[in-house]
Amino acid sequence: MTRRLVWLLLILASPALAQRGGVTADTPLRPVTRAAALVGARVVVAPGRVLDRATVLIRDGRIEAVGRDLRVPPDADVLAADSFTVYAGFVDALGTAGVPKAPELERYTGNRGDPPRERSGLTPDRDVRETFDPSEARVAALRALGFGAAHIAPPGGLLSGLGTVVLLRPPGRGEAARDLILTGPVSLVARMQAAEGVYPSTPMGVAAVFREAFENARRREAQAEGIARGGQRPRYDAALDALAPVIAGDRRLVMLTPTPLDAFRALGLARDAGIEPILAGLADAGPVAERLRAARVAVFAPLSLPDTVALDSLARAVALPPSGGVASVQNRRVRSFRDLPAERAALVAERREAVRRAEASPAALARAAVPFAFATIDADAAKILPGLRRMVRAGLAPDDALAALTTAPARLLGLSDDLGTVERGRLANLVVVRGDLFADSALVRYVFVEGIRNENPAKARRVPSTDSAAVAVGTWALVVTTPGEEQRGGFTIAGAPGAFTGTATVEGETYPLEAVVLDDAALSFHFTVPDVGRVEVSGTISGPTFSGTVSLGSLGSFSATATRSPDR
Amino acid sequence: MNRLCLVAALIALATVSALAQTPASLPPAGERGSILVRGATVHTVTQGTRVADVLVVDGRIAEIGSSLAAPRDARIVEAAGMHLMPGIVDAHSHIALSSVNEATTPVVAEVQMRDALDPTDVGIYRALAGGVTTIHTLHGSANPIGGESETIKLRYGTLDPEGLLFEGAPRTIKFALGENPTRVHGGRSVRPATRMGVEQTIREAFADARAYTAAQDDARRAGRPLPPVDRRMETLAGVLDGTVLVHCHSYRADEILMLMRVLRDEGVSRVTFQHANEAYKVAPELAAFGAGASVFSDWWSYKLEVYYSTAYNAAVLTRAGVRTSLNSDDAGMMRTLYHEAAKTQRYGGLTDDEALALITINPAVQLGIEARVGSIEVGKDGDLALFTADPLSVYARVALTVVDGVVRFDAARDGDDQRLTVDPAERLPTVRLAEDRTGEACLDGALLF
Amino acid sequence: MRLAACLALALLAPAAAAQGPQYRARAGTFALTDCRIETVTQGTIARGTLVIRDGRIDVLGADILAPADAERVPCNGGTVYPGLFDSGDRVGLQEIGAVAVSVDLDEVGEVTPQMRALTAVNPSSVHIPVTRLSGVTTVLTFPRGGLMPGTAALITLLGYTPDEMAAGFEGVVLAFPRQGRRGPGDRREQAEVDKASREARERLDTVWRDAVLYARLDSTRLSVGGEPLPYQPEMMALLPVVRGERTLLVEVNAADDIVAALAWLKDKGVRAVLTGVGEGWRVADQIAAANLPAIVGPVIALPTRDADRYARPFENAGMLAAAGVVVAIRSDEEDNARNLPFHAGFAAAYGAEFGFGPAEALAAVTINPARIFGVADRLGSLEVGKEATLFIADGDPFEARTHVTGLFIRGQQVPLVSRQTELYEEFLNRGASAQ
Repeated sequence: MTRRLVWLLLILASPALAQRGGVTADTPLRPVTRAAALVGARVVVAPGRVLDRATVLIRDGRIEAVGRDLRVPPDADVLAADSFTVYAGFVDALGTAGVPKAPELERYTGNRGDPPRERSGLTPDRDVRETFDPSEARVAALRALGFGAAHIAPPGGLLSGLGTVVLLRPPGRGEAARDLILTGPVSLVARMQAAEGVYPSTPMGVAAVFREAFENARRREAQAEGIARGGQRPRYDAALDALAPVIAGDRRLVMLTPTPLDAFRALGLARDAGIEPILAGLADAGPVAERLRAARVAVFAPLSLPDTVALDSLARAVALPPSGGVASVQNRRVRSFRDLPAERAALVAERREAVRRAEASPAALARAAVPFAFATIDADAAKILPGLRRMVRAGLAPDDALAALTTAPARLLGLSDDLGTVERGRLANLVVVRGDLFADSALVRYVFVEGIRNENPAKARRVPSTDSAAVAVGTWALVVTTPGEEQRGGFTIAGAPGAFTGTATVEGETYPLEAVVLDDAALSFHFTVPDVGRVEVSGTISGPTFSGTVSLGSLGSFSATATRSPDR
Repeated sequence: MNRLCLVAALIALATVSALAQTPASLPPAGERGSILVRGATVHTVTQGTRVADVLVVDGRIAEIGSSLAAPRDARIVEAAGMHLMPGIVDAHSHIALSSVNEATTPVVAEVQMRDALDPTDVGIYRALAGGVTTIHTLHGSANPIGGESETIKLRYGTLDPEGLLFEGAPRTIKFALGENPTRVHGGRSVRPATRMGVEQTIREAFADARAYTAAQDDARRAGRPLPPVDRRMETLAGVLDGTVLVHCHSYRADEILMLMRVLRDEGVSRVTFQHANEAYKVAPELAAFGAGASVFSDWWSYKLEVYYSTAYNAAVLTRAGVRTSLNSDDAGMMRTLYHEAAKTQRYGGLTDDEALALITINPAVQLGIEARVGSIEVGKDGDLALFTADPLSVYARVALTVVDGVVRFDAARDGDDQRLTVDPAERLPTVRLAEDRTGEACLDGALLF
Repeated sequence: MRLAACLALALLAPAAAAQGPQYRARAGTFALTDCRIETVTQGTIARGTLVIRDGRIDVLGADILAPADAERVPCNGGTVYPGLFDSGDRVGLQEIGAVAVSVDLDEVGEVTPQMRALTAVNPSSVHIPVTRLSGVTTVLTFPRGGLMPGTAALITLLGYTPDEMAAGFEGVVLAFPRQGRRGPGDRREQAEVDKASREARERLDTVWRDAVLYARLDSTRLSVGGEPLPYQPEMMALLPVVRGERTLLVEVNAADDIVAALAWLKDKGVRAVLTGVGEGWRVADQIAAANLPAIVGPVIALPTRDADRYARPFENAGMLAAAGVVVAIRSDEEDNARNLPFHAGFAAAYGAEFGFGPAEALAAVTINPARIFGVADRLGSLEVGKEATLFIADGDPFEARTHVTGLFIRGQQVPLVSRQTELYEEFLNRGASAQ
């Protein structure tokens, strides 16, 4: 009897359960309950705010309560979460999950200088809501990582179209794709791409069209009012009309800027158009960070990273400063074919440095106090969480990383009341993780989207571990080959990635290690010996052996090997 | 480790290489430096040649004389036996650009090369290594009326394109006559397909611009809302009122005369003919119009309209009183413009000053920046090129290139790899051979589709 | 298309006919007096006389009296140099780059060694007088395109027929297959690049196997008699190469390709010369060890890699020479082979730090190529008995301000006229017309 009553209540509370088109093999089952309780979990309410052994209550897709000693309602689906950490569901600040690719355009034979605006990329009125498809594979892939909501944009070129925020879950019984759309248009997304074979076919053409479009959009209001005074009537132009809310500040302009150069260009264009944009996809924000801060422009930082660059034996011979700059390799001057091994090594080192810059890009934004949120854009889903961990290892504070996945995108998209934290009244988008999210061992076990539970396999697919903490920690015997003789010493490393400590032993004296960094298998640190100065050690760990270089700034660098004592 | 032994060994073997200019350590674009170059043979270009000290303070030439004292922060360069000349000005280049031609339609006055500037082009550094400090980087020659070109300073090291802009340089626009526009557009059955069509395309564009300006002015005067803006017409209106200088790609004498007729009819007086391989045939007409010519030293015969060329072009023009410059139009040749200038001594016997003027003060005049650059004079920008020998000698090498008083190239501290950005995914270096560079830079991107 | 070709030919017709009697060279006995004489091989004579008789250098030295029957040509303190070699360009094969019908460089087919440059050299090309006025008297003109574009010809820049111009050397061109991308504009996938390179290499090996087989069968026929071999023009052209009687000119530039070419050449037993050799400095030791000469150029060029030193192409010749490679310099030009002296000058300016100065650069455009092409008995230096192919300059011929004041090719005095000088004289101070 009670159970039947609950069913009845549920049906009444969910008016959409009726299946308008009849039931098919694909029609989802009716939900058993719309209430859930996550009990005994470590709850990260918001970045930096943690409740231990707390309970999260969910009802009808929203968070009903969060706290300790909460009474679990009888109709709740109870999840014993005492070995889990619960985070707010991630919000993809910009992506294409559920957005079908634009259909291929037929060959164009008309006037290249005056093509239909779709070909020019002028589709600022294209509404992504019209084509959102929650069955697209990327929706499930991102959800499995913890993303519950995403700001999605339509395909397109220069002014691609209107972005909206959607929930990353499949439609339930009686629901359609449109029921997962959370907001109206929140953004105008500008990919700033040149058209193919028609005007504008170049970056400068794109800029010219951009400038003129915003200038004319500003003139339109006055033109409409001016007809009475003998002015020309403004011509029908849906593209220009779609810019009005951006100019009015009601809709954000999101400009895709993969490189610093793109970012500088976009900042100039937006400044001239009187718009405060958000820049998306900037892979290396370091060089632009100060300008962004000064212009108070936020960034949707990409979650994709370039692949790491392996050091081969030659590349290892070149000492790179452990942090910042590739000055030492760019001084390189090949004087004959004999110098080519060093050149090759230096080029590898430069590529590594480029990777490091990308990894350190979010940290640079955080340092410059530039607001940023993480965006998947077109990142490979399998690389997103490992990439995030690389960014944390490169200096991004875990709380800042979490904020960029939750509170920051919610705020930048104007959805702080619905998304971003584990608080009463928010949408019940939750990520349930075994272990710490930023540790390589973390496993995203459950993802709740609007209260609907999605379960990942209990064992994650075995990804090659990039966590070498166990390998670096230990006591190492060091041999440095200097001209004429081998010098012996040692070093000891303790702690965990991001917080290694250690000492070096030189001629019976002990010096504290600084900046101990492990990047994949690449270990680097430095210490200071009075009279000698700063000694920089870098190299690669392979099993119980380390090989690399010991370098004394401009004095030179020397090859070094080390062996980890077996007693640990 | 025996500490003393280690230190001794290290010091004994250390090859202390001086710090090169690296992107990380390059001075920012906004920097204005101080430098004293002592005892070089100074080719002022406009005020004779003599052994002197040249002092630059905060980016400007402060003093030229003997036994000058340097301010405390100035770099001092002992240059006895060396030659100092003004930083070279290249009036025609297509480096530091992401794209060159908006070739989709014959008139694109609205596009601006400043929107396509790419400060990471390593070609900038290489041009500095050839003593070049200012360049005019142009829209391509696919269109009778191309886009606005940009005059920039080679402040290599900035990633912000605005850091390169030559503050206060007049706006310029690219026109193009002859084979390129007729081939690009005529080949698609779009006018112009002939030199006749080129003329009429330009005349029509000017007529449209006048009508546009009149409509805007009418509305403004009547207090009515302004009709839609048309940036193409706005720029052409700028050409008509003289604020945008015309630089016209041209080769044949007839088409040079044609444009002078059109401009005279439209009341436009400032024009520089670019390339102008047959300008020598109409030197008196150019001189009478007051038009400039920016020519190649010796390029010819790569197409029909340059078959009847002569390397004596610059000499004939100079003798006829035409303001003439030599340009590169090429990322390779722009590094050896001093050598291109020297060729005018073989082909026509120009004096040293006449030859050097072709790559300094004359292009500066053509770009409207002669008050700032183009000669070594007190008050001008501290843009200098120091050579190991007479810059008109084939054995001369650039030792130092200075922009705004800041050393941007220093042969003594020059490392090989001067790229500002590196692609982490590029596993194999890309090798580009001479045979991979085909066609004219001017037509980059124009015929790809 | 046919119409366009006709039109283009019509346009070119005046060019071919443009060289009137003012271009005719004059044979005779000449005494060049009051000259500095740069012999290249036998030092410099500070002030002396050089006598030209019957097309040859009759005598030269400090204390020579001009023969009574000789026409005196005073140098006025100028210097006599042997005519310069441009060891690689396209003079005579290309008239106007963009006018396809005036360009005879690239025959259809990947393997066309039987295409002889000498067949298509146009003695009336306007480029010839323009080029020789710089002191460049002898050029190796190259066909291009495909794996084996044809047979390059060494020509003298004077003559009314190709045969008159032939300078006694021909070489079969092999464009060694490239392994990497063709510059940053090459957007092919890596697999595609690798496949193309593999296929080109396989084609080369197949052709070579055939050529070796053809040569063996031909030898058998010669020794034991038998039917003539079937007409096989490609193989007939390769026959002297396989037998080591004709030089294989191996065009190769990228370092990896040079290494591959050296390995490929190692066991072939052919007479080979590397050409281009843009990244030769990277593998200079290996080229030296293979004992192969290198024809380097263009010198005034951009580096092959973005990460390379700006001046690397200027330094390449010097770096190769420092490793022990015999170097010749080429302009690699279509239109401006006249700039060959400047390529040499830049190599000297930037080669100094590697011990490659003006003297070495001069050898690289005179005696070195003469030896590489096997014509050093006649050309490449000023020695008694050699061809009187030489020029007088009022200074260092590598300097742009220098003028060539006298030019003799095979003993004939060549007028210092080209269409470019004619246009200069016609239009200098022509006076204004009423416009």
